Amino acid sequence: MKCQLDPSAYQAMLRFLNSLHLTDGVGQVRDLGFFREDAWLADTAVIEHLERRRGAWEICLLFAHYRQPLRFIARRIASHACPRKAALAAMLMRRLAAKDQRGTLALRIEDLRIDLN
Amino acid sequence: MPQQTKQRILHAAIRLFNEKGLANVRLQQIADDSGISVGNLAYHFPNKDAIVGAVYERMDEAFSAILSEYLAVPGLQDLDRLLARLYYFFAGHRFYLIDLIEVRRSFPAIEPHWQAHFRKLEAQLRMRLDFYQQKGLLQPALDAEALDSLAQTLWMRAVLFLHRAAALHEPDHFPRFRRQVWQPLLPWLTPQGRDAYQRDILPVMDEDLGAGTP
Repeated sequence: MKCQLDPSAYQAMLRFLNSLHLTDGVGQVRDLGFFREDAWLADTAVIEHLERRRGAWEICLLFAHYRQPLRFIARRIASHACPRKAALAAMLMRRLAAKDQRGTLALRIEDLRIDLN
Repeated sequence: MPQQTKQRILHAAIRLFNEKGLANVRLQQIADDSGISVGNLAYHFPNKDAIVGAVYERMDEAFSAILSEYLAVPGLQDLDRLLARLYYFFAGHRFYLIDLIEVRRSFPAIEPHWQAHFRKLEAQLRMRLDFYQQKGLLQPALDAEALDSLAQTLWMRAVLFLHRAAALHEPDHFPRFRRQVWQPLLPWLTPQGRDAYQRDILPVMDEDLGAGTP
């Protein structure tokens, strides 16, 4: 038995096929901009953070520049039901992500210059 | 063997339908043209309606194959390839267009399939125009309404070319068809589109690809 596709669904499908081709194109210099934009991540201290969320322990890694600590990003990586397993995984992930695996790069609280007023 | 005989019967039927028109062909003529007896023909197809049904099933598959090649090449060659396949399809089954009203009246069950095919063809032409505009080949000044109208014009020229040529006793070869369908699009091409047209389409404009074209 043959089924007929709704005309509007067919048109949407064709539009999708159009956009598949339109994404193809000659590469631009700016396409590689992420190398430059993310270069600062090479000089970051990595801190792991565990948080209980929806019944599981979520591992979050915080990447902060060692000279400008206010320049940071946080990324949720994974979650585990067992807190010990989550702590172990977080430690391994931090060591994998950090530039200096021995942890000699450290953040100093005075670099934050937080004005409590 | 029975499959080969069936194919032979269908080929003969299409040839006779094209030559004499759907209503004017009798089973005896199809049998003679296939080189078999009427009794043998009746073994494969009990009546003319069954032959017509089988012919339309084949046409349905062939047209679906044409529609399945949407934007196989992301450029003007894609439209040109569609035109070539449409032309040779309709030229090989010209009885369908010439006897359109008769077919609709005598075989109402077939009609919805063809309406769906023709709608899809028009939708494909319309979305190709969208694609060419986004790619910078068609002028951005064309709004949605103008693109709809242009797609309808292309559809009419592509589908009804043979019908018109038969009615006016005009030449109906492929280069003429190709030129006539491209014509309404040319004023709307951007300089980039004209370059692509001159590079990819114009050099092959007068080539007749022959009846063996898939």
